[in-house]
Amino acid sequence: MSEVDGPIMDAAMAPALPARAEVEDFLFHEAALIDARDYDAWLALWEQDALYWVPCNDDDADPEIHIALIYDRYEGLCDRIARLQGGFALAQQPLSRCSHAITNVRVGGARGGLIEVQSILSLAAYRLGKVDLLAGRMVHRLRRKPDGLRLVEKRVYLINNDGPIGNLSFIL
Amino acid sequence: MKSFGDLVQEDRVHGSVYLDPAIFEREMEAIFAATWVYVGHEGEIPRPGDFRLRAIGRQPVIFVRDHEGAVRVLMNRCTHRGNAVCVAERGNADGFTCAYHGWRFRLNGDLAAVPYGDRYDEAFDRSTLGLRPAARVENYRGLVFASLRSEGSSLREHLGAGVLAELDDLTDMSPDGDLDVRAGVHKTVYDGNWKLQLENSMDGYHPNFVHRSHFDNIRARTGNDPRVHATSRTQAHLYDLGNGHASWHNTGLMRSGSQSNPAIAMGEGPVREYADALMARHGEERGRHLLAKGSVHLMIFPNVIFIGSHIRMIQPISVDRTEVYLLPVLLKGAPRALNTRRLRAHEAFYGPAGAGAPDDVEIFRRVQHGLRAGGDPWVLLSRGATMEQQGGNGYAMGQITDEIAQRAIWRQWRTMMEAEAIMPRLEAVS
Repeated sequence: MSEVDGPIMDAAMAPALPARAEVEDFLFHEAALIDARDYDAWLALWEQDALYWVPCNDDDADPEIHIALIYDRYEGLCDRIARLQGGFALAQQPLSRCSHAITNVRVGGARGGLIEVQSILSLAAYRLGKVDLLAGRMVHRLRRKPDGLRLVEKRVYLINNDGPIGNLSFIL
Repeated sequence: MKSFGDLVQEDRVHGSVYLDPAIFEREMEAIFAATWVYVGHEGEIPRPGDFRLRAIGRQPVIFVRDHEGAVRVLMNRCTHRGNAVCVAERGNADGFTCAYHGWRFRLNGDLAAVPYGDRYDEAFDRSTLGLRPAARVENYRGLVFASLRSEGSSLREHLGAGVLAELDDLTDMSPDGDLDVRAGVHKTVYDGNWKLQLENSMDGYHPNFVHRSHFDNIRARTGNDPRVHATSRTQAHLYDLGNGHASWHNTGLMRSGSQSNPAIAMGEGPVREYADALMARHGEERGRHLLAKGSVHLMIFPNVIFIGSHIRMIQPISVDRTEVYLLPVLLKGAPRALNTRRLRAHEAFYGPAGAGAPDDVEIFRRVQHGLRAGGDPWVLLSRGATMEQQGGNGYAMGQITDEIAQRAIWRQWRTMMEAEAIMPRLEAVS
């Protein structure tokens, strides 16, 4: 299992943990922006030290020596949404219609000044007569800013990350 | 059915070759069960007992290193009642025990134990009931190919000098002269014929159209326009290397994108360290050749392509469904930062969430759909057909946007499909 299980308290850096309701509101808002295809607003949730990471093959894969499905830093996120917005990404002509359900939310603790949140993702993506169902565990790492929570890291551990996957060119 | 010579002509092919289930069935026997098929890199299974499940056509095989250190390719089928003896896709095992009636096989395939053996008589010969091996297994620089036919060309003869030279370049780009293929695998699947992926892997005509969204991003970020590397005026070439194999020489395109070349988007330190290591191993001249080349782009008929920084294995499932496995290749002896960079560059373009590969796959799906339209059943492959030249390496050469590689694929396909009556499976086993 990964290091995210159980509460982790780093006394020197620990921010006050938010109530689950505040965190849920943030995750639900993020999901709603993706489903509404408001990618600019979604990007605005992210901090500049962003990491959007979807491991491949093994949940404990080491990104320095193992391939990931997605390992986007901020620049990669910008490229990703530019493809979705530009109209020339063939795999997103037409755009997938996505429906995110975020459940089982737990505020896991704090590490390195970030609030760690675990949840379960169930995602249906419809395109050209076919519904793809994706599911997995998510870990968000959030930063408390004066105007609210911001997204620093989002990891999605798909249950089928070692199996054949078709089109994954939408946002998880 | 028309003859294969009618369906596959020199500069066009009939759409049914992508659509007809009967043709697909014959391909499994006449091509995949008849020629050298890439199975894996021996570095994927470094220790005795290490194994990977693979397939030759649709026939499931176990790619395994035995207790003596030899690499084996064994049919994943109990010789008793046909149960697949290995279920895990990868791992390390002492042997393979059939879950159905407990027959146990050694890593080299030998039958080691038959439970309650007293109900077999003395004519029952265990020595003949090991897991069936591929008829031939050969290795070139760690790349393992298997053939289900005991007769025919050796692997080296089948690949030929042109392919071997590319594989030497590929392997020698590692300062240690060996590839590391343990970074995992991207598995993708699409609703289309397997040959669409094979053809597209050597198609220099499509990038400016299919990959426009990616090129737009590169242009916006760097000011450089990758499109200049894939026009009819680009000084870059494709080679027909014989037996259906082909190579693509277009360093500019690979350098322009967020692709494989280890020299791009790296700090100065690791690049210098890598260059020095190559020079030290290979000398100035060959070292410079490898650095200038940067990557190998090679297709070996029928199921493997070396492109960017990965090995791509094509796995036919049915006439209109194909799985494709992309195994990133790291360079042994290169700085870790450089190898990590190769992984990030691979992900940025390839795999199911990359900025390029999903668009290729979408085209395969659309082509499979479009081919069902009647009126004119032909697929044209005439581009550059009358303008081929002899390259400096002695092989036929075409411009980067030509369809010389597709013609090479189909020529080999026709030759194999027209070959003598396909041996029935029963006869092959007896």
